[in-house]
Order: sequence, then structure tokens, then C-alpha cells
Amino acid sequence: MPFGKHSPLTCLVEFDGIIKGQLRGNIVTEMLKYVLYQRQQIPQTYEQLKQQEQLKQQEQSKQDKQQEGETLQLKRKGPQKLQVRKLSEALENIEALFHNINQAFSNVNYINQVVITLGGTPISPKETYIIKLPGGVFEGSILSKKEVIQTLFRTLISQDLLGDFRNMSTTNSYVLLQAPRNSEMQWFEPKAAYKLPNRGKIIEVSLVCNQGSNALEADLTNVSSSDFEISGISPLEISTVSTEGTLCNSLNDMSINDSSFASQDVDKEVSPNSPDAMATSDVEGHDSEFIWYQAPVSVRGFRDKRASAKMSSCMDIWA
Amino acid sequence: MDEIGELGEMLPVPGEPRVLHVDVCQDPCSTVKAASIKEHVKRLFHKRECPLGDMKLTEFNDEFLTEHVKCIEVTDSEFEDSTQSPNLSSITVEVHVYQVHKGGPAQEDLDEEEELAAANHWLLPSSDFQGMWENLIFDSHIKRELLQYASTTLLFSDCNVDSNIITWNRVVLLHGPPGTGKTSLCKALAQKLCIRMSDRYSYGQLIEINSHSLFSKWFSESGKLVMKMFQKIQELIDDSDALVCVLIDEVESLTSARKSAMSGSEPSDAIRVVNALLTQIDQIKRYPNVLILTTSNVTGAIDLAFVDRADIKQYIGPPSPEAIFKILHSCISELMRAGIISPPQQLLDLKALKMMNFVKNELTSLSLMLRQIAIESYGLSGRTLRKLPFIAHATFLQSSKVGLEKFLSALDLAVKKQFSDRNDLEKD
Repeated sequence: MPFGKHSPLTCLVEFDGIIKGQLRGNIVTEMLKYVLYQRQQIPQTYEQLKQQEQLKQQEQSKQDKQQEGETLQLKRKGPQKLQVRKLSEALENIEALFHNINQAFSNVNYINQVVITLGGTPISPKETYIIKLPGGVFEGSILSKKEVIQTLFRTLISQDLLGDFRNMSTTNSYVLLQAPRNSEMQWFEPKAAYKLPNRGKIIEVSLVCNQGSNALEADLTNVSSSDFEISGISPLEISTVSTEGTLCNSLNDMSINDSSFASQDVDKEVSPNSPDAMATSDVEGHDSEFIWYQAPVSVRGFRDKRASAKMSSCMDIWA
Repeated sequence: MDEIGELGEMLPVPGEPRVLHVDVCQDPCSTVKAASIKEHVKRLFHKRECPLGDMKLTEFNDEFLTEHVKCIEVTDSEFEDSTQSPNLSSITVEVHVYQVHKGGPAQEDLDEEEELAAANHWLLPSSDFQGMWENLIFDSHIKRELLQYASTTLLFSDCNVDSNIITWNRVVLLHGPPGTGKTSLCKALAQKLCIRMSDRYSYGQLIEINSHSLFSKWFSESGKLVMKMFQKIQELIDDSDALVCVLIDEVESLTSARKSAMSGSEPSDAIRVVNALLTQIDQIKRYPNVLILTTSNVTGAIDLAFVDRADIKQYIGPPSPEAIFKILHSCISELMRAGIISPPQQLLDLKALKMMNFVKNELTSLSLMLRQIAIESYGLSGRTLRKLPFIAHATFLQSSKVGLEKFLSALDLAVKKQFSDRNDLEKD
């Protein structure tokens, strides 16, 4: 296994249909929300936080209107203010991330992996969430957003992926996307040297669209039930896995699928490094064409001090 | 036989091959491969017979370079002192392409419960350390020697030199009076090494250990904390693509001489820390991609076993008048750039002054004045020198724009004040 102490936790999410461009971005943002909340980086779910923030802003504007003409009242206490600032800073960063992730997915067609890392730096994370996006299948019904998100979370929760994890202290969260070197990625900064870390816990979520190819499906279940990691789905990992003889065939099938997916997308605009060439060339050449792009902002986790204080006082009553 | 001797003289000196290191900072948003940038930069150097001294280019005629490169720098070129300017054919140009990481230091903690960070952790090359190396001015060839040390270490590891026969410990100890730039030099060295070795290591890491956080409140736990710290470092080293630099500042607090601890003034826990550190260093030295940089003010207090492990024990003293001149020169250029000293006037450097035999005339008078100040301020530390222009402005000037001559006289006063302050301190 390429991974040292911790072998990756894997999770296979199967969709009965196709996921179109924008929805892929939605999957990523939903995953990010999920990870941030589940791993104690934000004290409440993103939606709750946002609602709170909006309420606060409304209140603030009301107060401002009332206070007009009057003398300024004493402002809120220091630590509370700090809390508010942390909250709004985190929200701002998360929103910027969401916006740009969606933007990236609508501009760049072939982002095939997304990584969310929790930890000091993206290279030394405590936890890494690898999201392998589906490629390949082109026949089948187009899924709606609701269906996609439902399937995703049903699988995540029924598999209880994060069940045994211990609580985590607040830290930084980074988002990286993997896309071809020549793609017109904006906002995200290229990190050509980045590679997936093998430090800390690694969680792999593989998303597969598997309608119309039952043989492929069978292969996949084979793979996942055996000891091998299912990462072979993406072309990047093939070179490392394909040494295992029996897997080769099924994996190669899929890689061709992958590249044909890419070539269909770019057929209109002919670029020098056209995916057609990639499809015929061997996997090694393909490999180097994908590089990682890192989001220039990170989300700094924070705790709600007031809430935890309340919690502990509640505990006191019971004690 | 004589003829042969003469022939030998005519041949080019076989000495060391001359290498010109060119550091190219790639634009953070550029996705071009380093190889193609290298090609363009090499072409740039071959096309024009550009001056081969230290320089920094930020604007290029080449469109490709303008789009993808932020700056090209040549530092520590060894040709400054040689009289004849070498032509490009006799030297090899080595181009190092790098992209800086923007994020500041990340905290590394040992305990889940403990909030205190045990180490700061940078991804190199980091934007925090940009320009540090160039602005560190030392007398002898300290900087070059340190770089050469690192490259020898790598060479030996590469050639699989048996470490049972020839040992090297990957430990560098810089010592000397406070304010001479030891810590900065360590950081800058780590950054420079990562740039110079970008072909070999895809990125670098600098871990600055907080020595005091390694002492536990529980008796006998401190040694374990050191172990934990090194376990974390071990995890980083395991990635053979990364060059890991470990910086232990004020190392005497971790490796206080065990002998004095024996006398009873120190708890035995401190001895355990020293032992743990020594054994961990022995463990770590097996790996080719690690370097331990340490600094200290009080060398007498360091354990002998640690000093013995250090491959390079470099003394870094207060700067010489020449170095002081360079430091002040760079300070004044910066103030001119910022528009505080105006109108900008040219200050000659020492080399030019020497060529004019230090004769005073219109052109050289101000530069000679600066040289005089430099000679006067011998004995001040680098840190003090860097703040002198600030103090000169704060105490003696106060206006938002000053002429160079006025500023120099204020600088002179500031130097005198530093010395009188120091005397007062000693009197108390």
C-alpha cells in the first residue's frame, strides 16, 4: 500500500445517472459544509451560521436606525466582538470558496478530484478528504440536484464514515482541485508540486455514475470488496495500481472512458495538447498533465465560546 | 620541462568550475513547466552579455517571461572580486525556478488538549522569507560556505558514502553575540536551499521548534515531549520529496550542559531532555533530506556532546566596517525608494570608491561620509545597524522629506548616541 500508518477509509457513492457540470460543484460544496461541521471546524451548520449572521445584520441595521441622533451606547464586550469577527471572517471565506468552486466547475470541464485537508498546512494535514468525481458514463438519465445530494448523503451517513473519529481541535481547512495543466483555472493557484499527503487520516469518497454499464459495475464491486483501493477510477492513480495484474483490464477500460469523456468536452476547441492525443497516449503521459490547484483562502476553524460556556453550565446542573 | 610548465600556465586554470546560480521566481498563477522557463532564461543570458554581478531583474523584453516570471535574481556571484570579467562561455548558468507559498506559519501542536503550539511550520519557499538572504550581509564567505556544506551533504548521501566510515551529522550551529543575524540566516538558508534544490525536492519545510514548549509540567515527561516532537518531524521526513529544515533557536535551553546539571542546580528532567535530543538527532541523521539548524548566544552552556555533533560551528560576529557600509548603503537606498530621502542621489559602493582611491571630490564626498560613519559604528550589531536609520529619523529629523547630506549627519549623531547609551548602560 502506498500509505504508511493509516490505510485510507474508502466510501463508494453510486449514482444511477449522469451528473452534469454544475452539479459536480454542488457536490463539492455540500461535502465541504459537511466536513466543516462534522469535524468541529464550525460550531453550527453552515446554513445556521448564515442565518444567524443575517439576523444579526438586520438587528444591527435596526439598532443603527434607532441610535441615529442619540448618543452612542456602549458597544458589545470585547470577546463577544471577537467571536462575531471570527464568525464573519469564516463565513466570508467559505462563501468565497463556494463561489469560486462553482465558478471553476462551470469554466473547467474536467476537474477529476477535489481534496479538502484539515490541518496546519495542506502538506501536513491531520485529515484529508479526497473526493473523486465521476467521469465516464454518458448514457442515462440526468440527475437532479435533489437526487444527487440525497444519494450522496444517504451513502455517507449509512456507511458512517466519520463515526469513530475523535473530536478535533480547530485548525485550517484547505481546498484543492485537480485539473489539467492547460486549463483556464482562475482564482485557484497552481501547485504543480503538490501530491496527496500520506500523513494523518485519509478518507476517500469515490463518486461513480454507473448506469448502462453493468459489467463495469460488477468490476467495481469486485475491486472495492478486495483489499485494493478503488482509487483506480481516476486516471491519476492508475500508474500506481496497474501493477496488480488482474485489475489492469478493468482499470484501463475505465481510463479510456475517462479520456473519451474529456475529449468529448473539448472537441470544439482544438488545443495543442488535445485530449485526443491523451486518449491514445499511455497513462504515464496523461498523468503529468493533471496538476493541483489550491484555493488561495483557507477556512480557519473556530469554536463558539459562548455556546460551550452555556453547555458546561447546563452540565453543572446535572452534576 | 620548462616549456611544459609554460604551456600549463597558458591553459585555463583547472580550478573549480564556475557556476552562476540564477534564481527565477515564477508567477504564482503561472502553470508553465519549469523546464520551459529555464530555456527562456538561459536564452536571455546567452543573448546579452549582461553584467554577471549580483542583480535583480523584474522587467523583461521576452513576452513569455513577462507573463510567467516575477523576478530573476543573481546573488552571491563569486566574480565580484575577480578583476577580469568572465565571459559566459567559461561558466555554466544554473537556473532554479520556484514558486513561493503565501501562507504564513502554521502551528504544530503536540498535545490535543494543549493549546500552545510546539512548533511553527512553514512551507518553503515562503513569501515570508523573500529577500532575506540577499539582505543578510556577512564578512567572510559564511553564506557560501553554508550552501556548500549543504551541497556536500547531499553529494555524500547521493553517492551512498558509508556513514560508518565517514560521518556527518547534518547539524549546523551558529553562535555569536545577539543581533548578528543568526536566526535570520538559518531561515534564509533554508529558503535558499529549497530554491537551489528545487529540481530535486519539490518543496521544503521549515520547522521552528519552540524549545520551552518541550518542557512538561510533569516530572519526567519532558523527554517524551522531545520524542513526540521528533516523531512529527519524522513524518515530514518520510516524504522523500521534501527537504526538511529543523530550526532550534537558542539551543542552549534544550541542550544545557549536563555537567552543570549534575551539580544539583537543575532538575534531572533537564538532563533527560538533553539525552532525548541527542539520541533523536542520531536517529534523524540517517535521512538524506534533513538539516538541523541551531543558534546560540551562550556557547559555554551547551552540552559538549551536542557541540561535538555539530558539523559546522560557525561564529557570527558583529559586522566589519565593509559590511556595515553595505548595510547602511542598502538602508539608504530603501529610504530613497520610499521617498523619505529626496531628491535621490547616487551613493557609490565600496568597490567604486576603492577604484577612485578614496579621493574626495564632488561625486564621492557623500559616499566617503557614509564610509566614515561605517568605520565609526564598528562594534554595533547588525540588528542595531538596521534600526539606526529609523532612530536617526525619529530623534534628529522628524520631517517627511530630507536631503541625503542632512540625513547622513543625523545618522552620524545616531551612531554616537548608540555608543553613549551603551556606556551609560554599562555604568549602572
